[in-house]
Amino acid sequence: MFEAVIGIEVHCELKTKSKMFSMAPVTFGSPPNTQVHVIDLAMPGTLPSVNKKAVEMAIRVCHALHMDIDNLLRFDRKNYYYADLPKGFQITQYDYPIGKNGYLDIEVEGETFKIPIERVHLEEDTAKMTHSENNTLIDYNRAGIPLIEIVTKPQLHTSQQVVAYLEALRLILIYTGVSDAIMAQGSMRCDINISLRQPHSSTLGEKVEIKNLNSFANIQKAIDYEIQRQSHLLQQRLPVARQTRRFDEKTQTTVVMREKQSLLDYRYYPEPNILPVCLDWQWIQSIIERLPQLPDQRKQRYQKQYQLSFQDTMILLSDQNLSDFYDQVVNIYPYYQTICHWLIGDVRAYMHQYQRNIFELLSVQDFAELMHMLERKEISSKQTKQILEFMMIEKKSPHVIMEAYHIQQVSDEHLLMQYIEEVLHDYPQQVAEYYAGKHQICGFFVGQVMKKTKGQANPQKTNELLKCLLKKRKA
Amino acid sequence: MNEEELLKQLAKDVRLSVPDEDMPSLLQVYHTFLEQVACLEKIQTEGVEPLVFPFDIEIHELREDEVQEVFDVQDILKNAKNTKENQILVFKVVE
Repeated sequence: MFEAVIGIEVHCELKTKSKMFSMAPVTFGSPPNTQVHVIDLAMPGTLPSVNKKAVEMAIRVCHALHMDIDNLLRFDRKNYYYADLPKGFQITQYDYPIGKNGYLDIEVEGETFKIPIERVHLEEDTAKMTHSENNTLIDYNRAGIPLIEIVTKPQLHTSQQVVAYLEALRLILIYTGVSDAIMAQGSMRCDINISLRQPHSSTLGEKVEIKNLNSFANIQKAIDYEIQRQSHLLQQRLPVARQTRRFDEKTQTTVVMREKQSLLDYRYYPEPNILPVCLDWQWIQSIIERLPQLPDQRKQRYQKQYQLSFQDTMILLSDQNLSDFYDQVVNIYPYYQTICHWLIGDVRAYMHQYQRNIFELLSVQDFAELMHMLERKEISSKQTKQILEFMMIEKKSPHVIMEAYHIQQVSDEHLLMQYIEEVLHDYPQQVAEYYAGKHQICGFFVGQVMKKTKGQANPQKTNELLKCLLKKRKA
Repeated sequence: MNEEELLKQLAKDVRLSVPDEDMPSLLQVYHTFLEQVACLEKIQTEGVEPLVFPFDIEIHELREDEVQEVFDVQDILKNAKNTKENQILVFKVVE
């Protein structure tokens, strides 16, 4: 049995308006080569200038990942000759990343792990290349989009830890407002470095890098496969080659992209066209102060203060709008569990079905009112579901919906008693069973009353009155 | 690999053609270059911090995140030898 040692590099596109070093717009899905500035094309005489917003976003992420922030911003050149960057180099941060020595806490099967993060640095994205059999098409729209690269120390050991880390990191990128972090669209990309070693040994086996991973499910499968593949080789005393591999969806395996004979020499050196930028600590502090509550803090609040389960908490957090909406509703009426139950159940199903975000479907005040009516037993669960659906379709308050569709709860004791007496009269056999000790049959009688009233009877009230009547009759 | 072979290999790597008749003069330039490097290597640099910028200054300003009008796609493609579907078409150099 070998131990896997895994390190992760995540590239995240920042959702700024303009590019990292040019004023070309940052867009997704625009027609090819329509978002390109002279700087992105490395036209002679052009000079890069650093995007303030991208730096601000990097600082937000650094703070969320508990990193030491370097206020002297310095860039380097990574030299390589390839058509995805016309300059012949990428501007990145090599010697002095903006953030160092952070961590991220993750939870796997109830156990917490602190994942150390080595560095966060700013750089520019490359052009998108589409390869056919003999040719390559180049679209420079992506060239120059601001990126942050987040690199962990090689201290993860299972595919579950990797996925938990990536899920937690994705939430941070979304909640700090720096990215949509959509893997399928490439705004969050991930490379995994994996090697195996004998348990408790400090000697690592040869490192294999897995690239082109576009979903968490594929990442988990790729790592599990790779651990199995390398273990098999080592058990047979065969060498593990230093390679870059990719996950092949068809075969559900990893396949070789290229052999890595030695480390590429990128001849890094300080970028001479960008002078070191001294960031004002007051500015950095003001960025940190303006950050919204981060996923981890919300998680603590939901679980400890609101007593929500881990699973419910994670569902709420997985959608920032849903979490924001929940926070605003519980601020009005603190029915923590009920509100969570309805949001992650019926409302979320509706959101997925119609691909809408919650703020487009419901108003906070209206939903809070609906929950208040339910908690005060003015409406049944069935009616709540009915009203809720109309509220989402018609964008009206629960009161307007109830009036329009004649939805009301019968709580009038005299009226309910009449229905109960009718039911008891219709089912003498079941009444006899009740008196013979089968008390759970009460649910059947309540159900019959609900049927007669077309779901409008107050079930709690009906149950209370029913029990009273049965008791009274026995006496 | 002798010097001539090395220069031919470097020329091939950067996609330059060097006709055989140019090789003697290229070798001469190469020797001069090596001599100059040898002179540089004699300079004592221990303990000397690399100088990246001629002036020891830091700036405090960053560019505001604003968008500027960009080239029309047809202007961008003017520089390309081959194009297809408004993209630049090049030989595939990866396997």
